[in-house]
Amino acid sequence: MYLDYGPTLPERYHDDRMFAMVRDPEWVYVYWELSDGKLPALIRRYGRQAVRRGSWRLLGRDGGSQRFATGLVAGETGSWYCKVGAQMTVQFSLVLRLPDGRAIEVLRSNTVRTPRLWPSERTDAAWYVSEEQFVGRYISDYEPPYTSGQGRSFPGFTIPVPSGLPGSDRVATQPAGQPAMVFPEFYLPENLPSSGTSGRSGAGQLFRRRNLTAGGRAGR
Amino acid sequence: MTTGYVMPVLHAHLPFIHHPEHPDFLEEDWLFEALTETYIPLLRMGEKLRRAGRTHALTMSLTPPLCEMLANPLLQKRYQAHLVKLHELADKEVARTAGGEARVHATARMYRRNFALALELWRGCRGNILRDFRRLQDANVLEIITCGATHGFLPYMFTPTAVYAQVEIACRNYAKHFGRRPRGIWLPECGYYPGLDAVLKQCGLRYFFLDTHGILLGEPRPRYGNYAPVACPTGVLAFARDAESSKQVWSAQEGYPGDFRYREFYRDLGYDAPYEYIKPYLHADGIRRNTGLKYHRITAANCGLGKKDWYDPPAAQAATEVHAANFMFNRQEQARHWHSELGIPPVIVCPYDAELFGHWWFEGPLFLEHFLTMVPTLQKEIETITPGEYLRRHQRHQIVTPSYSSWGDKGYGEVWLNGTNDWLYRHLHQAETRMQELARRFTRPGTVQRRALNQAARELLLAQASDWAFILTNKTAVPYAMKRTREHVHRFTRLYQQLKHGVIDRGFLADCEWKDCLFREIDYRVYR
Repeated sequence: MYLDYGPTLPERYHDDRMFAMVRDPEWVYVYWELSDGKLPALIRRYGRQAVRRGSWRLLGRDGGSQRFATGLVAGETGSWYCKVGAQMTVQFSLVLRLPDGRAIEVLRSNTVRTPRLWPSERTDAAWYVSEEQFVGRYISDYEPPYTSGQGRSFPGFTIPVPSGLPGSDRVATQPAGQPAMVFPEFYLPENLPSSGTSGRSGAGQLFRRRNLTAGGRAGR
Repeated sequence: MTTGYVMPVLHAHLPFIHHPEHPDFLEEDWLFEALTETYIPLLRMGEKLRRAGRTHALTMSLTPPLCEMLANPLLQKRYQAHLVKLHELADKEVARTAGGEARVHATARMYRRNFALALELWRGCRGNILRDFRRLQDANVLEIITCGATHGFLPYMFTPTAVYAQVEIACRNYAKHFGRRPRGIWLPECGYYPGLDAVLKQCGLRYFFLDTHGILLGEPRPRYGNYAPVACPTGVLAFARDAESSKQVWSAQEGYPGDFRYREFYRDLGYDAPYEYIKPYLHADGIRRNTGLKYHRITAANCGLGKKDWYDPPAAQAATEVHAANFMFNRQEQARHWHSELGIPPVIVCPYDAELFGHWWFEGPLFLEHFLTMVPTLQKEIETITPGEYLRRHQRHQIVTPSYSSWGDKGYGEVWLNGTNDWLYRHLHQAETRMQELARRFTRPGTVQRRALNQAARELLLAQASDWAFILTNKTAVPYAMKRTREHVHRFTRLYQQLKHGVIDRGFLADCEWKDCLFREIDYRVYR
């Protein structure tokens, strides 16, 4: 039977974009895309070999400057579900980690805040209600639609930032078989082209092919 | 003395489905079924309440795409033809079942009567049932509120401008259909994020609705929980759903619609009747589908479709009265409890999808009619109220910033953002930014350019409907949802490219305008 799914949409729009969306109190979805000029500019600055051998990561920072990172992600275009926890103000970066250890921030997302899972600690003098009263009245018999840990297992999850860096006390599981990551510095190159620049290069094509080979995610 | 208020709210929504390019289109049945089983029975109920002098009985959101379909001449014409066919089928059924099982014959007669009444109402208002809804609002029986222009899930828009466009276009559309701007809004999927109220205020809206946890997890703690509205920092009020009354109607296990006497939804004449007999009432493809004529009752828990007993209309109707009385009793108890606990008359907000009443729960409109009739006549403790009337009586509200929330499964955004539908957003967001680019660039467009700009806005809005992501999650009509999203993004992109390059394909533009013909009044400058 023929099923009409409509016209095909473009895989990319050739813009620099990174956008974070809060799915629930624990998970944030991030998608991104690099403009055509971004990779050539990185290559000009750091060298073809360094960029080719570099690895792409998502780095998240919360308001308290804690950092957490995902495993390997696709470079030019991709998406990821990140478990960040409730009441976190998070901003993501797409980071290219070069073989010499430098981490280059290539894109930065909007800042999002995940909602709370528990009633506010704040009350209002004119509308005072103690925490005990509030929980007894409204929460004890209430079945919340979402409880912590209810989220499905997505490929993106937090991994510990190595010791010695801010936020190194975050506890999570590191993907098996992947090396620990080091983010000694956070570079923001000054001469990367801004959104909308054009100019495709062989290196960009190479990255795309490699990503596709790895099922849409850069793998090595 | 009033101990508390009950605020029944029905959210009536369907995505815009209009296919003039096909003489017969399956998904248009969604509207036709809802008209026959929900909207027309609700109108008849409203008319009875109006004649009885009832006021502030019910709040109802009629979403802009639904209003646009109800006002669409082609869909009106097609619906009338559909209803005439149904009436003809019911006529045949009355003849076929005569002399057989009494319950079956009574059911056939019930359908014939229902379809005849629907036809009478339809012809009486010349297919313009919005006029009748407006009349109920003007008589204060009903308070009609709006929704997002195409029911886009607002927390997942890319820019505040796109959120503003969804709300403002909805308000203008409401004014077109109901003669004034709306006072309240049903946020699509109850999707709220802190700050959204600023957009609502900008559009002149005074209140909206949230799921329970949207208020309970608000900042600071709301003293009255979800039993009084809270004022957002902008002054716009948020009412929250009452979980208990919701469960009594929604729950598949404990809810009234699961009573064994009620009609079984999944057993339909379209599948049971001999093929040649039913074929004239199927679509042109001849595939067996639901006709709306169903002869069986739920019968028992876990009862297979083949073992269902006959539906007995008087028994089911009697059950609605008992359930309405029980619903009222429980609200009285609830109001009494919260009144003594809080020292204010609580407002118990009971929102439901309108289509639950009549379409899914066949007896739902009758249940509602009994409830709305019983409340003012059988007791004095509780009264039904609409948000407008509540705000007229109560002016002091705690200031609370509600929490990000929705009324979807698990309470947040997962229904509209998961592995089945997350691919949508990069396209929608791209289109949003492009639409804004066009709106800023074209300050003095020519006639054709203006048409193209307005059509681009329509295509973007249609692509944003939360229905497509919802369908992809629930895997119900996946190819259609995929096709619709892709087509609207594709049409938008073509118009964008044509405008950008200064060459507008008038044939293509006219085709888009013909198919996606909602919001004639739209002004693309809302995206500036």
